[in-house]
Formats: sequence, structure tokens, C-alpha cells
Amino acid sequence: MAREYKAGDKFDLSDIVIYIRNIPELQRISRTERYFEIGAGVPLNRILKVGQHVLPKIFTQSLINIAHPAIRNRATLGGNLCHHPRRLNTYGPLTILDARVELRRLGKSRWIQIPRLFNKTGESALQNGEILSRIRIPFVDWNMQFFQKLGDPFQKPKSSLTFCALSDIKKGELTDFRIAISFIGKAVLRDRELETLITGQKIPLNDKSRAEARTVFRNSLMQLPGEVTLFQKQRSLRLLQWYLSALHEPSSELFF
Amino acid sequence: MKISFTLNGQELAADVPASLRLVDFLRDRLKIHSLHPSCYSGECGNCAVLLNGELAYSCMIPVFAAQGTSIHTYEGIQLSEEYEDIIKGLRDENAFPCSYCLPSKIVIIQSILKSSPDPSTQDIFEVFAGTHCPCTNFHNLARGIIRAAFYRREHVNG
Repeated sequence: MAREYKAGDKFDLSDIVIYIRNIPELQRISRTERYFEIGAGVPLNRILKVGQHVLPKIFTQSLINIAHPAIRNRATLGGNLCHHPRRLNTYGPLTILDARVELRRLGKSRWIQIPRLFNKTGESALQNGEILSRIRIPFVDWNMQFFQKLGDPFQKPKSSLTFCALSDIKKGELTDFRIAISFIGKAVLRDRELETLITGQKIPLNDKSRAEARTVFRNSLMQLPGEVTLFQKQRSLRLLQWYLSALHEPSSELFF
Repeated sequence: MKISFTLNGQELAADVPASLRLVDFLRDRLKIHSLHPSCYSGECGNCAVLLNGELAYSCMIPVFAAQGTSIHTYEGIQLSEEYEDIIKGLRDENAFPCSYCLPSKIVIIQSILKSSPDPSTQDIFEVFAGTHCPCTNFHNLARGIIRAAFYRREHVNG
């Protein structure tokens, strides 16, 4: 007989468990000229081993920031994406990388963008009988990538957040700019208004552009649900200010 | 549910409830007493095993996930020749852990040496970030592991 433990010590599983880890298709990693495709059951450490020099650094850094190697040997990318109350690591980077996921059921499959995996109330797009089977990450050149996870989400959920940003700068002009911030809970912010405002501007940004960006971003932060604290919003705003002031044309691909 | 797996080279089969954790199954049913789970949340590292050669914390794994796998615990590693290299390396650098966490640390060290014959201090610190027992100075421990890796390479190269 197994020992009895206090609440929370046992796995809370239903009577019927379908174990999908050993399905070969979920364990595959493939690569084409345009994208990298990862099975939902591939452990995080295997993704790092196979794709560390190929995958966007912003994504590999988000994987390295997940727990420690013993956990990463077991944890999967599909599991990380589907655990919606804690979208602090891969969700943000994959959102701005325009990654797509395949939802598959018997005889049918559909591809959706990562942000559509959950709606604003946190409900999953997975229908009855569907599983997340593959994640497709496109190869696009970004010459500035930034990923920062602040705080310990387990110990301090009201102050922790993940900030990630991608920029492509050519001939002193910001040709593409993307940003996403995620918090504990349902809130993930990708501010397209800010992205539109900043894209196409000359680097370094002048004071007026930075002030406009700050105002737009602050408005977006204020619209976030109440579970995001004022402290988290302030942190996000400061990180954005710092990032915008750090934008410059790198001589080679830059990750920081 | 029925599962079959290999434990320290020995093939086993068992009938287990799905919600049971692997660590409880190994300790209570198979009497693997080198596992000392204390946190049940993957933080202390005292229930470390090698699952298909990779480091895993058995408190985080449901027992049915062991189906078809090969599990190695401290008891199995202790009987191998590789164990001597680890012990020698740790002794040389005065980095011997306490008897409570020694089994898990040996399993973790074995996983490090299996994945990298010449591990760096950073690799070692990263893996040991998932352990809690403060009995050993981590810098000494890292030096001990690097020394153990040296003995292992000597052993392999003859």
C-alpha cells in the first residue's frame, strides 16, 4: 500500500488516464528551410540539445529559464504551453515569433496561432478529443532579441513577469518590432499599437517617440485585468523604457 | 494498471494504482531506501533517479510513466565500477556529502558524468541548482566532480 500524504502530496488524477508521452509522433523534431517543428511531447532539454544553435535565442533562453535540468528532462513544450495559469516562459517568445500549433483529433487537424490557444477568459481552444500535437516555429532573422524573467513566480506571483522583445534594425531603421509581456494568471500582453507606432522609426529613437511609446504602452497596461498589480505594470513600463533606450544597430546578431 | 520496467538491470512487473508517485512505489514496494523524498515538488533532489539514463526526480513522476523504462538508483550505481571514480574524486576534494543526501548526489553526479565526460563548473552548478541539502560546499563539490570526471576518463582510456 502506498503511504498516505497530506493534501497536495498525491497526484490528483482521474480514474482513466491516457498516457501520451510514448506516442512517437509527439516525440519528433524536424526542420525545413522555413521552420522548425517540435512534437508536443519532446522534453525541453532535448529541444535545447537539438536546436540550441538553430532556434531563435529568445526561445532557447526561455527554455533555459525553466526550473533545472532534472525537471527539463521530463517537462515538455506542449505541457508548458497548455498550462495556462503560468504562461511565463515559452508562451511570450512563441507569440512574438508567430509560432503556430497543431491541434489534432482523430482524422482531422487544424493549425492555429499561439495567442488563439486561449481566449481572454483563459478558456482553451482545445475541443473535446483534441490534443496539441506539434509546434511550428518559423525561421526569421532578428538582429536584436531580448528575454527577461523577473522574480520568482512561485514565491512572488504578484511581482514576477516575463518581458520579451524582438527587433530587426536595418540601415539605422527599425524595420520590425515585437513585444510581449506575460504574468501569472491569464494576462499576456502583446501591444500591437505600440509595435505599429515604433516600427519604421530611425534608431536611436528620439525623446518624442519614446514618450509617445510610453503613453501607448501605459494605456495598454492599464487595460489589463485586475490580477496584474500596479508594481508589475510599473516594472513592465520601466523595462520598455530601458529597452527603447538600448535600441541600436548591432554589428551582428545580438541577444541580451 | 500493470507496468513492466527495468530496475538496476533487473526486469520487473507490477500492478500499481495510477495516482501513485514513482518514489513511493520504489520506496514502499521495492524497498529502495536510498530515496529520501522530503519536498514532493521537485525542489530538494533527494529522490533523484536515472530514468533511461537521464536525471529525473521520482517524486514528480507518476508510476505509470515508468512503463518500459530503465531505472537506475543509488543501489545500482553503487555496484558499478563507476562508483569508485565518484567516491575517489569527492574524497580528494574533501567534498563528501552527508549520509542523507549522499545517494541522490551520487545519482546526480553519475548523470553529469554520463552526459559530459569533462563537465564545467557552470554545468555542475546548473544541475545542483535543483538540490537543497547545504551539507557540502558547492565549490568543493564541483571540484570533486571535475576530479571524478578525470578519474573516469583515465579509467575509460586505461
